[in-house]
Amino acid sequence: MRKLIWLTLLISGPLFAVELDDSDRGDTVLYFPFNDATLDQAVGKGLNSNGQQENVVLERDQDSQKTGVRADDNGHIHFDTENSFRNSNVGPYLKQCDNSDGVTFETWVAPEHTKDSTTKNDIIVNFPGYLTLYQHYDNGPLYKVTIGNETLETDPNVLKGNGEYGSRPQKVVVSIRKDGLAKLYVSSGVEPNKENVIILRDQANVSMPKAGSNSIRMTVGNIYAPNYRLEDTSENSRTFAGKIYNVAVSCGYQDDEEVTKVYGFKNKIEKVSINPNARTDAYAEKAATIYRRIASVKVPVDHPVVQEMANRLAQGEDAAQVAKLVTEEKGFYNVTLRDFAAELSNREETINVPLNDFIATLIGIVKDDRSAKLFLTGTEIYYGDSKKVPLSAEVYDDIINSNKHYEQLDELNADLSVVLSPMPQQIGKKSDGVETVSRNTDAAGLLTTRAFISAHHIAGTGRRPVEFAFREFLCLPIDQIADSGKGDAYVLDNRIGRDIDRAPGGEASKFENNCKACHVPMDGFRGAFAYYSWVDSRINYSLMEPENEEFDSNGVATKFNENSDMYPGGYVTIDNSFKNYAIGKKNMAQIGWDNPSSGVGVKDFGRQLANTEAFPRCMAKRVYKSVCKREPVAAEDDFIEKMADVLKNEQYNLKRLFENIAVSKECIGG
Amino acid sequence: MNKRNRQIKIGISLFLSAAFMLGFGHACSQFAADGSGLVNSSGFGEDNIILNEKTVSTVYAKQALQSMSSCLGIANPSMATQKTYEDVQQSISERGNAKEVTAPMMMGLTSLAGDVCRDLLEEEAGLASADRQIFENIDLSADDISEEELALSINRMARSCWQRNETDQELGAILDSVYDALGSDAGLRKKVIYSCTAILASFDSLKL
Repeated sequence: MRKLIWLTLLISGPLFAVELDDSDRGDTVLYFPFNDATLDQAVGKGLNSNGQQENVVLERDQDSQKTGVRADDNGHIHFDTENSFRNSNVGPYLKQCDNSDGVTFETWVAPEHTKDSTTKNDIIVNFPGYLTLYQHYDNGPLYKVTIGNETLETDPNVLKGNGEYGSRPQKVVVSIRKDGLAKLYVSSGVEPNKENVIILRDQANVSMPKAGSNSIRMTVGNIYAPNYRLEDTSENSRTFAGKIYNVAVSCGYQDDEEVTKVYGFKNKIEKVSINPNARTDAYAEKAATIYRRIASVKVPVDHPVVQEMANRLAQGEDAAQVAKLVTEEKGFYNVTLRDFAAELSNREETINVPLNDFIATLIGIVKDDRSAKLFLTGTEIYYGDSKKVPLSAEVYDDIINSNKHYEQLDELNADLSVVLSPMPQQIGKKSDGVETVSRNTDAAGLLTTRAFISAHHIAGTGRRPVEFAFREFLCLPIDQIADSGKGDAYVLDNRIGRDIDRAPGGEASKFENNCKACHVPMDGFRGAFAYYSWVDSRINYSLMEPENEEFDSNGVATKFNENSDMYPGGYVTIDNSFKNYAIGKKNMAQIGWDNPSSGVGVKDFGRQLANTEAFPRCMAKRVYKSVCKREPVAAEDDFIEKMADVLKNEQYNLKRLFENIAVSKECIGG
Repeated sequence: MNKRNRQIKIGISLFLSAAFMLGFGHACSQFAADGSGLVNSSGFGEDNIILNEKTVSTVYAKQALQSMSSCLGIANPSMATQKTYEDVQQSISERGNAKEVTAPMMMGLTSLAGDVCRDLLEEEAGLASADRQIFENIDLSADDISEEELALSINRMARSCWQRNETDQELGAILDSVYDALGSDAGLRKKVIYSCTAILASFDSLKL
C-alpha cells in the first residue's frame, strides 16, 4: 500500500516556480515553458496565422549526445555538455509579428559555465537570420544578442562575478521597436550585494527582424560540435552549460516601464494632488479613518480613493460596500494582511518575521477572493510569480529547503497584492545528493506550510502543531479545550502517549486532574502529523522518504513514541490516524463541530477545523483586533457572532469581514 | 563661538520641545477627538473599554516610515532616513497600542519625521512645481519663504498627514513656533523642515 502511495507521489511530477503563463500573453506567438521537456523533446505553443495555438516541438539534435542534457528536473532544460534542441521552421509563428509595432524576446536562463578563456559565443537561443542570444566569457559580457549585423551586449563590469554564474536564474529581455530601436535588459540575479532587478543593459539601432516567408530554424542550447567538450577551454569551444527555463517571443514593443517594472510596494507611493476644494467634512473624516484602519497607511484626505469613499458615504451608500475600495489598496495586502498573517505564522506570535510561505499563502488566498477555509484545507501555496517580479526560484533550494524565495521578495520590496500566484504544495527530499520534489498529497493549507511546520513541528513530541492549530485558527488555547472526559463516554484517554507520566511526582491524581484534560484532545489529534517532521531545514514526510531515520518502520516520526518507559501502557502511534476527542459538552458548544469524526492525516484534521463554528468566529475576532486595534471584549460577543455569520454568508471571503468590521460602530464609533 | 553654540543648543531644545509638545497633541492635534483616549487601548482591562468608541492607536515599528512617506507622497526615503528608521525602530511600539506610547518612542518618531521632511524638501525640489504635492508654486531654490507660502505648505501637509485642514489656532501655533525658535531670517530650508516635522510628529499624523 505504501509503495502505491509512493509511486503516486513520484508520478505527480516536479513543479517549478518559473512560469510564463501564455494566458497572460495575448501577443505571444511562440512559448516554450520546458515544464514537460524530456531528454528527446520539448513541446511548446505557437500561434498560427488563424490565431489558434498549436503545439510546436523542439527535438534534440540527432547528432547530439543524449547524455549532455537533463530535462527531468524542475521544469527546465539543463545542458551539461554540448547539446541542442531544435525546430526546423518557426518562421510562420514569428511572421505574426512582422506588421506589429515591434517584437519582444524573453527567456529565463542560469548559465553555469565559468571558464574565462573562451573567445567564442555560446549559443543559448538562436533564430538564424532573425535573432541570437549568446553567452560569452571572453573577459567580456555574459550576454550578447545579435540582430542582423548589430550586437547588443551587457557590460562586463556588471555581470562578471567570481564564479557566481548560475547561482540564480536571470531574466533576459530583448525588445525591438518597429523603427529599429533595440534594447537588451538583464536581471541582476547573479550579482552579489545588488538589488535583484531587471535593468537596461544596452541599446542600439537595428533593422527590426522580419520573418516574411522565410524558413527560420530555432535552436536552444549550444550547437553540437563533436570535437568540442565542456572541459575544453580552447578558443574553439562553443559549449553552453546551464539551465534554460523558458523562451517566449511576443509581438509588440515593450518600453522601459513595461520591461523594468518591479511591482514594488513602497516605491509605488505616488504624489497626490492637493485640492483645496476637496471634501474635508465628516464623511471625509470617516472615509479617511476607514482607509487607514484597513490599509494601515495614511494618505492625504485628497487621495482619490478617500474622496470617492466620502462622496459615496455622503450619498448614503452602505459603508461596508464603500470599504471595498480599500481592500483593493496595496496597503491592505502589504501591511494589514501581512501583519495579520505573520502573527499566526510563528510560535512567538510576532509580526516581526520575514515573509514566508504561510504569510504569502494567506495573502494570496484573500487577494484572489478565495475561501478562508483554504487556510486549513488548501492544496496550494503562493509564491512570487516570475511574470510579475524579476525573481525566480528553485523549488527545492529556495522554497522547500529554505525561505530564500520569500526573503528575496522582501528584499525586492515586491507588491504582494500583485506578484503572488498559487502553485501546488510540494514536499522535497535529498538522497545521495539528488533532490526530489513531489506534490504533497496530505496538504492542509497553512498547516502544512514550511513556516508552520518549522515553527511547531521542530523537535517536541508532535503535539504543538495541534495546539497551535486550535490556538491560531479557532482562537482556543489548549487550556480552553482541555477536557478530561469525566462522565463523557465519547471523550477517552486511550490516545495519550507513553511519554506522559500517569503519576507525576507519584501522584496519580495530578495526572487525572491536570495533565489529562489537555492531553485527551491534544493526543487524540496529534496522530494527524505523525508522518511529518522537521529536520535539516525542510519538512520531512515519511511517505516520500521511508528511508529517513527520522521515521520508524511504520513511517511515524520517532518523536511520537519516544520516552516510552514513562508509561509503557500508553498509546503507540502506528500511523497518521487521529481521534477527535474534543467532543465533550464544553467543546461541542465552543467549537461547534460539523460532524466530528476520526480521520487520517493533516488534510482531514484541517478540514474538521475549517468546518467548525469556532473558525469563522476566530477569524472575526482576529480581524477585529487587526482593524479595531484591541481584542473584542465579552460584551461584544454578539457582534463577533454576527461578523462570523457575515464571513459564512460571504463564502468565507475574508475581505468582506475586514470591510464589515472596519466600518462598524463597535470599531470606529458612531 | 560660545554664543553660537548656545544659540544652536537653544534652537535644538526649542525645536524638540515644540515637536514634542505638538507630538503629544496639546497644541495642534485632536488628541481628544478619538474620544476613547488611552483607556480604550488594547491591553487594558475590559472594565476600561468604552464600547462603541474608536480605540486610539498609533503607527507602529514596522510601518512607521511607510505611513509617513505615504502621506507626504515620498517614493524613496533616503539612505540617511532609512538609517534613522533602523536606529529608532526599537523604541517604537510593536503594535501601535496607545498603552505602548513612550517618551523615547515620541523622540524617535520626531527624529524620523525630521529626516522624512528633509527628504520631502529634496525630492520636491527636483520636481516641476505642478508635480509637487506640498510645495506647489513655491520657489524652493529661494533663500527664504514668505509667511503666506509657509502657511500654504502647512495646509497641504495637514491635509496630507492629518487628513484634514488645520485650524487657525493650529496654524498660528506652528508659525509662532517656527519664528520663535528659528527667528524670521532662518531661511526656507529650516522653516520648512521645522514646520513639517512639527506636523509629521504630532499625534494626528501618528494615529492610525
